[in-house]
Amino acid sequence: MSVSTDELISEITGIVAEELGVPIDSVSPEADLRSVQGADSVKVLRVIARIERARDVELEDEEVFGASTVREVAEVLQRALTESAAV
Amino acid sequence: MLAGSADNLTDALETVVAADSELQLSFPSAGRDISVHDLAAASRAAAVALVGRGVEGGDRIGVLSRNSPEFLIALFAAVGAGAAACPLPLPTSAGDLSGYASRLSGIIAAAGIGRVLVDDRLGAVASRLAGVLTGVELIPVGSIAAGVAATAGRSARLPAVEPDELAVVQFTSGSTAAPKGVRLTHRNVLAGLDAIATGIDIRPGEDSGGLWLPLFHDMGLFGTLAGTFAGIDMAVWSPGAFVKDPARWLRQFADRGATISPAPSFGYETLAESIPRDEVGRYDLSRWRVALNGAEPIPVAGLDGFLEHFAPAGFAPSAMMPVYGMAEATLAVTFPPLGRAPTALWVDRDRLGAGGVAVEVARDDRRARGLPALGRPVRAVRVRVVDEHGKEVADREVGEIEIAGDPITAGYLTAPGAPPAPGPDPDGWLGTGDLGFQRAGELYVTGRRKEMIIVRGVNFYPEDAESVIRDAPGLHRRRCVAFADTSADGAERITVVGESALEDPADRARLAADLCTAVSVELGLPDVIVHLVGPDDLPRTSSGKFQRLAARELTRQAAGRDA
Repeated sequence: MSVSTDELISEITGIVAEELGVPIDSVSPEADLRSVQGADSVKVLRVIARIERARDVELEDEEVFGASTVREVAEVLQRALTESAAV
Repeated sequence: MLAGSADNLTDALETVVAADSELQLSFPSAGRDISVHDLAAASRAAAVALVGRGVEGGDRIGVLSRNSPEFLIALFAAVGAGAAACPLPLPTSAGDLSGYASRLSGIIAAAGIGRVLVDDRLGAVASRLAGVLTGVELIPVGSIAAGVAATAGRSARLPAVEPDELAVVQFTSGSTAAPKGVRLTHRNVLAGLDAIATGIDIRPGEDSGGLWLPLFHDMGLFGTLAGTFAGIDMAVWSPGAFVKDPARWLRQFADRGATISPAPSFGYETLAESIPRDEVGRYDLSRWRVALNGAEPIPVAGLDGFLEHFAPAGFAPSAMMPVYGMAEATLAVTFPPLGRAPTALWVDRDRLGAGGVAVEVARDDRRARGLPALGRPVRAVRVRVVDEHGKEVADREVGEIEIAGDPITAGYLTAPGAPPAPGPDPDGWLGTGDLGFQRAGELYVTGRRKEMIIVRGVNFYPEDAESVIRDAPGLHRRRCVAFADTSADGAERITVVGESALEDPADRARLAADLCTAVSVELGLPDVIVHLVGPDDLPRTSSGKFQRLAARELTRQAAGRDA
């Protein structure tokens, strides 16, 4: 089963908006997550944790450190999903 | 402490191995464990390899590792080879590689680091750093240890290490531009670890410890070593595992039957927020005997909230121990007595400044500020409070806290050209930069003399905020001042005041929001306040320097008018 990056982006955008308490349309795929009102490094990690639970994957800390936008997180997630599907 | 009579960290570890070679260090988030026997053997092999690569006594070796066995192997390998280990921070937030790289190169310059021992499994981070850290040799610690045959490791000679040689250089303090490394000798570290073990009466066979702080943080590193050297099993989770799912961490901590955990106040508050009230009863926290709470200012409400929230899980109020410490003391300075629930003093906040005095008021008084009692000096540490002339003040009088004794650093390492960072005076007293008072032998911390804030155990410096925004378009002649400040509810934050010639209120609001975001993102700091003033409004000294304290006063007056 493969998932498109666009699907992951909209899923992650929903989680970001809910976790940070902001409207969905205020979260653009290219915006730096930490610049979203109310976000800090702890809340961003919480977002990642929710994505992990929703998709049942574990993202490597170093991969996550390298991602700062919704699109980048989606790309990290997609790689992880592809790898876990290949096992 | 088991390792009490050792001269250096290597001998101390050997003493622990001799007492119980199967004592464990567990790393649940990494899914790995190591016995002290295997830790000592791998460290020795890696030390032999380092000597073979030309490492000499007095060298400083960086340690870059997640919370995994490799961190400790690297640390003991460096000191076994006669060098000092310099724990290096890992990036803490997403996408901050450029700020991170400049902090790292500042540390490397200040410590004169030529080699960095790297966690073999660090993967992506290490490969990204290779391009950034030129002139530094990155050495995978696991593979050099494995490259030395066990027999060769045992028979090779390693340098004799004297107690007054440097063991650890801890870079917890100092701004990005001017990092400060706390120099700690083997004598300092062993005395400091002994003080912790004694202060909480660690008992082999009965206790075990668990923590999630990064090992590159002083509380993570010395908290872990204090337990191991006292002969108890330790479990070290990753910081990410705790932050992502605090409830899962607590369940694992309780399931291990762990009895001791150090964390900053933020950690305890996070646990209370993360576990719904109706689920608390499903946890059994009755074995938790010591919850050390330090590394940042401790709000009384956070202490009370935790105790009340976790009472149904059997958490004993006397287990919560608000403490005072810092890297300069190899961690512990004062601990409250064991077996006492936290107590606080309510004092008049308006009379607490430097030169002030602690005047008790009713808890519900409008001016009441609650200060947790932080206990008495731990073994081998002395504490005094002095006025601005260095003269000791009376009980209840506010002054700078000074510390002395075997665990206290002899001073700092700073980069060439950086502002000097004075060490202890000739009598051995080190100014902490913290303000406080003593009452009936117990210490209370009221604030800070130095310009810095601590959030979640991490130090932040106003000058770093200034350098983030100084070049922002819209600022008048790069003029801005940042300073440490406290919000109405007592949280520490950074406030930035910038001059701007913009006239349109919407433009000014947009500029303020942009500056606020830039500082938050670059420093990884949640709470930043930005004020804009007109051109030439910022107070300056006769030499043209901006005055932080005067700027702070200006914004306070402005806030008073707005209110």
